[in-house]
Amino acid sequence: MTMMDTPMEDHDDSMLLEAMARRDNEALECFYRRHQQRVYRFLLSRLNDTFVANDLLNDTMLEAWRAAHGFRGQARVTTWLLGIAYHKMQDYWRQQGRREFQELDESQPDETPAADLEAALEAASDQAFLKACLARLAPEQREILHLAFYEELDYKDIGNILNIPTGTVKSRMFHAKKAIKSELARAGRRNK
Amino acid sequence: MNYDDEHLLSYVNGKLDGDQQQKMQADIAQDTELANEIALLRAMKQGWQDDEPMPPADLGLARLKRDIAQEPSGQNEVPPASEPPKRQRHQGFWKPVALAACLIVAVQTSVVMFQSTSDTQWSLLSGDSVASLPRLQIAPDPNMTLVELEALLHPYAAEIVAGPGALGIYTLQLPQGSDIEQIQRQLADNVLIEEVSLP
Repeated sequence: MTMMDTPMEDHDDSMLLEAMARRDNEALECFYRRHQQRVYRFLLSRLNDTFVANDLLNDTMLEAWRAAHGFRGQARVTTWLLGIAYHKMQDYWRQQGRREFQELDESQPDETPAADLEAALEAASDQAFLKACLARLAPEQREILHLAFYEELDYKDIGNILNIPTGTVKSRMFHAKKAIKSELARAGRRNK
Repeated sequence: MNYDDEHLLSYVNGKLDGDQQQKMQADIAQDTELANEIALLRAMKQGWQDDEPMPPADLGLARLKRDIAQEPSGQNEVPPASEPPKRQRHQGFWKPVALAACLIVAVQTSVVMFQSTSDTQWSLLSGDSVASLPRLQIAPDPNMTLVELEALLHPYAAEIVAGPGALGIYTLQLPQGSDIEQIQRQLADNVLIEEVSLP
């Protein structure tokens, strides 16, 4: 059975990229519909701006179309695609004159007291409040939580997408969790 | 609680194997702090997954197609196909016309050249043309320094003429007569070079 015999929706990502490299518009459409939500959410996790996220989604897909012939299967297609999206975001931040994210020290242990953890847990049961806390995190922390919890990626894949060492992934994850815990714990104590 | 964040995350994402999963469950049952930590991670995951922002699917796709249509013509050309296209009948009618046009251009060119002055000391204000020199595009390892890259390219006398672009791609120019296919293969085999392609 050849590619031509099966509906485009049944093709895996690599086959779609292969077809896109041959400038197959149907493959592009299928690839776009399959991945738009994933890319858009990833962009939004960091940008918090739907207009910019839409622009960068378009730029990412355009770059995927241009670069489809160069995909060699060394990484998963989703990792490759989110890597492109990440670079588009970096370009955007640079154009905006935003400073580099300062990595924090990861060596300190998480010393959230047990009482605070319970208070945080209680506050986390309020989904609206939890979302507000997540929205207040630094963009780089939201981005890493998104890749960890939504994309369910391991640290190695996250590092590949963000172009950072695994140790830095660990550090950002640690500080994102810590920030969320302290926000929730404060709210939990206030509610008591 | 002796687990690191990555292990806890793998548990919450259901990525642990059977034995690890069972051990974790047993530990959670005995350790309140661990149980609370897992519950908090689950709440965060839930919070992240419940949020469903939607991109404007059809509008976005229409915009992408419009942008692709506006790409320079070279970007949308199909790379060489593995099979030659089928020859169609009546396709070659333009050949005599093209041949005649070429003949006219050749005659006009020779007339203009013989009528021109013998001044040979001229050069383009923009400098010598380099368009005909062979080029390659490479994506080196992001951690590679420029000095290391230049050292790697030195044996080929390759010059970086553009880059790095947004995706870390450099354009190289090679001397006339370089064996571009061999250089492309050698660079592709190098662990520090992630991608090599013709522009």
